[in-house]
Amino acid sequence: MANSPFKNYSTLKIASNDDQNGYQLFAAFNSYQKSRMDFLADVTFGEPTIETTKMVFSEVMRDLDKNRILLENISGTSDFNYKFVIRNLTNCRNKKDEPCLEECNCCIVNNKTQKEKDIAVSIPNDILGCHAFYLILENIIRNCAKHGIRKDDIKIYIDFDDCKREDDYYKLHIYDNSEPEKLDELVEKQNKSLNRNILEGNKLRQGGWGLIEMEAAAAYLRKHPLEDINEDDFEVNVEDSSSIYPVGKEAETQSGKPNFLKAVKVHNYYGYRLFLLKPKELLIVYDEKAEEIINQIAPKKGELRKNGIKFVKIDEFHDEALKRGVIYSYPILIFAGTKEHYKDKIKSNESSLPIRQLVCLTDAEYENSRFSFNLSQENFSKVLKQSDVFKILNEVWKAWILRQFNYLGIKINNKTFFSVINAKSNAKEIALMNDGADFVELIKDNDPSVSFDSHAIENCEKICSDIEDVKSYAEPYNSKDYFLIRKLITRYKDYPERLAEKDFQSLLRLIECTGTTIHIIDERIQELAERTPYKPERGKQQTNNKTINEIQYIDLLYATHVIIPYSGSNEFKFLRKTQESEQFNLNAKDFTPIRDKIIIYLRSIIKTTDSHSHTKAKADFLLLHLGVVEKLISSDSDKTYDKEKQIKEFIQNEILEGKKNVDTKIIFISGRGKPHNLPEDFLYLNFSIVAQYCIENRLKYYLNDVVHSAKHI
Amino acid sequence: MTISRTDNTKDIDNIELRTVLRNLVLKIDEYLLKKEPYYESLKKIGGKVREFDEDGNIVTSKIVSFQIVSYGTVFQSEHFYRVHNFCYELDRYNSGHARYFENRENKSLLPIYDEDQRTGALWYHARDPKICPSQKDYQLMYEVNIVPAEYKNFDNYQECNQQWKNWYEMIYDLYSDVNSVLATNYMVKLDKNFNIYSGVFLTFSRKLIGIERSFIKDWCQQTLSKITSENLIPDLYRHAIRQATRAAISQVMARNMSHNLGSHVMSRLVTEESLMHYLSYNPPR
Repeated sequence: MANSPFKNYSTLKIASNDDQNGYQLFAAFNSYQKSRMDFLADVTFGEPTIETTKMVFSEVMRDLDKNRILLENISGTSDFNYKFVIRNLTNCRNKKDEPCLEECNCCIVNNKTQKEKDIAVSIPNDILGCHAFYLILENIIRNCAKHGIRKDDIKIYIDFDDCKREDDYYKLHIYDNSEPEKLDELVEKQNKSLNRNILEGNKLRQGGWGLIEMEAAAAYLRKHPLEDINEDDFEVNVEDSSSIYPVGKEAETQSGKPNFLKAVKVHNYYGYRLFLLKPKELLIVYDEKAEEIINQIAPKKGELRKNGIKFVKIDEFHDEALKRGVIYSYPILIFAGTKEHYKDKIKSNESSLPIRQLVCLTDAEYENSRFSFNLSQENFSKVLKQSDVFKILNEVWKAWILRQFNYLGIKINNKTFFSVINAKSNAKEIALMNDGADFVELIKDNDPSVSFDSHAIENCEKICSDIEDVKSYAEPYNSKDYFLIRKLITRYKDYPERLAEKDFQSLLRLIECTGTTIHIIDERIQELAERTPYKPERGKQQTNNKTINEIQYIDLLYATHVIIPYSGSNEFKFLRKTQESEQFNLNAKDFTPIRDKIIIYLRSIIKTTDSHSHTKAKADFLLLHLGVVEKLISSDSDKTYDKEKQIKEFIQNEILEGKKNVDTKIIFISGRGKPHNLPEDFLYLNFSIVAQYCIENRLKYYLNDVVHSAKHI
Repeated sequence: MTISRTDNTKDIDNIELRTVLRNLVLKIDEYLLKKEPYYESLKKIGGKVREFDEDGNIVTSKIVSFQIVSYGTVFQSEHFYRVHNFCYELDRYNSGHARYFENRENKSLLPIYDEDQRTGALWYHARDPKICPSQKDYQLMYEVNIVPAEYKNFDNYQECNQQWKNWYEMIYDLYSDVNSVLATNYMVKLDKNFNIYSGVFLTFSRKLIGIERSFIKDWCQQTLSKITSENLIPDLYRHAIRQATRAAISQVMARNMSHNLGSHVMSRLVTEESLMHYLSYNPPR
């Protein structure tokens, strides 16, 4: 590329990233900075609460690779040529007791091999946690450029492997082939620096700040309080490089306390070892009444635990621990036991536990609600008896989807679920089978539909213009952009393609997102969604002289059941016809004239147990900007609220009107760190995480996952 | 025995503080029941009691209730203590109590745990079960019953004072049939806006005379002072150090933006030429 501005950084060769023009490059850089600022704000206030599963290559590294301006310049020199080599050593056939040699290519994860080899990790606070990882990489690149002897053809290896002594973590070695001088001395010096007290004379020490940054980021990635990096429990053993614990604690296993960060020598190169959380897949809480069912699979429990399925007996489930801030960041929970235990331990700690629940009561039939459904003992046994982890998880998710959609009144016939339309409008059908998914040709009918459209927004436009259709779903995607969609929805029409068993869960989560309605009340997202047009990329089938329509994001999101009210502005062309009573400018300085309108609107979108069918008009999740709520409270001079409880009282009395049978989950969003006035049992998400999945990295799949993982602050 | 528990559990996610208070209660146990110097104190109490008790009646204390309250919302610019309910970990204290028996011959003191002793059943030394002294060799000197304690924080002195009064009244109401009571408290001022009170309330099977009260009160004051000052404050200090560590890390992180992104990347994007270098780029199709 003659005019390519990139000389230093050799890319991961991801097509959508390689296709960015200059403006898109700057947009990516600005987005990166914005998220970095949010991360730095978040890191000062406390520990992350949510965790989301991310694929290392196709999500985490892809997003970093997009930021070419950063990667080109971060080294600080103009002649430092480098690239990332990501490797998944967990199942490499060449690995024996030692890590794979650097030349081993069997474990490399790249564009071609990512489908089989990409590795899933659990990242705290989504994009913010990714920035903790990026911070470590940035520091390593800069140190490598500054101190390494070699400057050319630098490879920065990121090796993932299982940790034999800690089931909950992946062990990472990040090292480079820059050949620093006096390697052993360097390793020892850095480890001693890692053990140094951060405070000297009761203030920040001099020197070694880069290591503090990296170690703090490593602690954030493990959801530990940052001050733990200064504790003896996490000191590194300088003498024994293989040890992952402090001196004197080498005999420990499963303590959950391996070192945060340690300087190591890997293949005679300088590097660091840290640990990332393995994904959490399923939490099973049971009492003595359900013990018999659980004991059927007692021999498999250890293996299941290594793969993210955790069993917790009700006695270990302490209210105190939960109220103290322990959060179970699993995507889905199965409870097996008595009604009383469910009420005392699970229901009373909702905001610390998974939102999705399957409830198997041993002494009663469970009454379904929007996010928790009855699971019979027979079905629970059937789940546990599956032969491996993937089959167990697939059964759980299938049970979840079928019950949820039945509750919502979403029609699923026996064979088919929804259709996928390509640019030629040939519909494909996805069927739910026991062990994967088949693709079959189908004639599309006129029922409310779900469609994922490659390079096209016609279905979105249709949905927006038909206000009677409150169920249909349409989401455009660009085939180059999304590894996930490409993996799950094939365009090959000649062969039925069988989905890999390990990807079936992702498919079901994609299906789930089509049945979830999210309402967002946030002035920043409202403004951005109204102003920003979505223009689908030109597909291969489209001729060059055909005009490509645009659609404002606010309408596109509507078609994906993410509802943002119009502000009432005439500046842009919108597709939906809404009542004037449903339009209000959340950016208004004074809320007094629009206060009643907003409150009436909010009341109207609350879903209750007696009106629980699926519709865009009612919210499964209501995302409320805390600032908007505060403005609503202060704009009413007639009412006074208790200062400590005003948010809670306002929500309970004004929005929910004292109702108890509410299905809608209310989540507060804020970008100001951890708000001090948020009621303790209310759900919270960082604004940055929500905003990026609405506009920049718009995909309902991710937004759906994030709202389901919301926890109390 | 019931002790009122608070339902206000806001801010009990402070793990270090929870540990502090748990250690505090364990220290009560240690000081009252195990440490040598306190046996001596108890012997003194017992000795004085016997010296002045013409009837030869021994003093038994039925209940000791230990409470810490404080007022003040701010300690080192942070909401520090709120309400803690750590009763669930103290199950053993619900039924646990200690009796001090004095050997009639050599006057050595023996602390004993055993619920059965209340009812006169066989009993064993808490530490060494092989010891099973005959009851006739020992006489009951002092009985201490530890009950679950609470810690509460209040926003102002009036509320704190009221809580103190409520506690007295509650204990008094519960044990209105006793012949004598003694209550004493100890205050630690950590900060101009933050005080910690600790208090102990004892009831006795007979009326105490002046010098007995004086000795017992001294003993209580020593105990309270040691427990509150020596144990709580170092733990508060440890908590403060962690906060300082956090602040230091925040300082380091605050420079990350300017150090990594600012000086290495953005510094190269400040001229029109450098911007155009990227803006003019179009990827090949």
